[in-house]
Amino acid sequence: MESILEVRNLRKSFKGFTLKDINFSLPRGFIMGFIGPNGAGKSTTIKLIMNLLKRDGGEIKVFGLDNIKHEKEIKEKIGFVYEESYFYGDLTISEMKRVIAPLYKNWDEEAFIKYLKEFDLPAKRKIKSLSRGMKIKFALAIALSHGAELLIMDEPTSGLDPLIRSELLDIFSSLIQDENKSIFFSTHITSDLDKVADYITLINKGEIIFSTTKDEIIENYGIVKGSKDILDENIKKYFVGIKENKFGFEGLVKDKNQIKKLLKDTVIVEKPTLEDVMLYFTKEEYRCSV
Amino acid sequence: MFSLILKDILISKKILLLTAAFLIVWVSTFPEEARNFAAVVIMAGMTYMGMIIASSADETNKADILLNSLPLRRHEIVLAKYLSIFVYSAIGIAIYLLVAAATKVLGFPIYVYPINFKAVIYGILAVSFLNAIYLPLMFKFGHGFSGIMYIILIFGFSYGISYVIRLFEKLVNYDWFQNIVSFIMNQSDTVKMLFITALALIILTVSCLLSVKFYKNREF
Repeated sequence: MESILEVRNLRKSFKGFTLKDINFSLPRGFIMGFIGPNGAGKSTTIKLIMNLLKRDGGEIKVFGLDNIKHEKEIKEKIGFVYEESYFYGDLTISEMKRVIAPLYKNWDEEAFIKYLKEFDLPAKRKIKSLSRGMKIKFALAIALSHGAELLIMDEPTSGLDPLIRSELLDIFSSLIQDENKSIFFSTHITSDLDKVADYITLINKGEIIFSTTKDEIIENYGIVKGSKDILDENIKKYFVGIKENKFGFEGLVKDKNQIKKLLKDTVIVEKPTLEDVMLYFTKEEYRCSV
Repeated sequence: MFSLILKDILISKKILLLTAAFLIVWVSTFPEEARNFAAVVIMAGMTYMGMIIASSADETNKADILLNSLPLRRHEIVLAKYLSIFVYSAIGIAIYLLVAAATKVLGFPIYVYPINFKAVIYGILAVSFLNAIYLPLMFKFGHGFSGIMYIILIFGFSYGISYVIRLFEKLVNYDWFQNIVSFIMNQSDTVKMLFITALALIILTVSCLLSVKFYKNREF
């Protein structure tokens, strides 16, 4: 499968934080959720992809091209939505569009007008007077009006009410109907990804914990619940993380069939949510093995 | 790249108009011997306000993140700022000339001094020199300190001019200096103007190269 985004051995060090040789790739036509707790390195990775930060080592290829050598060419085909709005608050939507549109070779004015209508965005309104949801939609309208093939989004749904979030997720899902487009989507609201993501990449403390399909996680991983009596060091080896309380334990395993065979009816095995997965992989006090 | 200049003008349009109005009233009160400074004051004032307002908007909106996510090369972002020096100056001069023409036609009791080509060239040299120092500092340290930097520069510039005059008064006693001055003075006005324009362009080119180097190393 052709990769639209490929990150190999990417390294970046700051005082007190290091992104450690991270690797992942996103095939064309899919949505990848990039999850991890706050401060895990999600925004740093996105800034490195966008060449807003300088990498210390490794390689980033977008559309098969180096993101620094072919920066302008790549950015022609990238749409970006960041957690904060970086548009000029004192300009109106239409003024901001007048500034941005000529910078893209493939700007589609009709598409832009269509998206303004669809997203209910008044062209004459100043950007600073828009709600957060509207600002995200405006960023999305810009991103979708120049034929972007890859949408890079950093926490686009954070701080939005459930209605707007659901609306945005529907837009992402409909976008991906065009098999030429891909979305790389960082978030700590994992429930958003339960609905739309095809691939999940988990990052914690600057390291990639895993990068795989969502189906692989949902089908193979399991939340195991049972009595504490059955937990010994040998059994704990099968767990990613375990949470114990006075009534029993709950833990995450990577291979639920294996644990079912081993513990049979002594435990209950359930499908995990992405939040469970993130929690057990990243919360230090729950961690057992990898 | 021209979009970026348009962006700066859209952001600062109201302030630019107010600045132009203020400067026109102010220069109309200049004594006769200072009238040649009208163009320099208008151009420097407009460029100062344009730069400061655009810079403050860039700072407030963390615009470097937006600009560097768009299909723009960093040197284009830098170059746009340098070109905007001339655009602000041109807007100032255009407004001044319009007001001068209007006051004449309508017979307002304010006398607006006409601006000649020579004064504009001196204006170009002044704004080039000022911004040639300011812009590399802005691209190196960001927009945050730009307001303070510009004020320090203007004071420095005023002091610098009086220092240069004092220096000239001393140098004028030397033969080699007298030779250079008489060589320049013997040239036609066109050659003198070309020399000043070339000097301004050289100063700006060196400054621009420095700004590109600084900006390419920035992280956002």
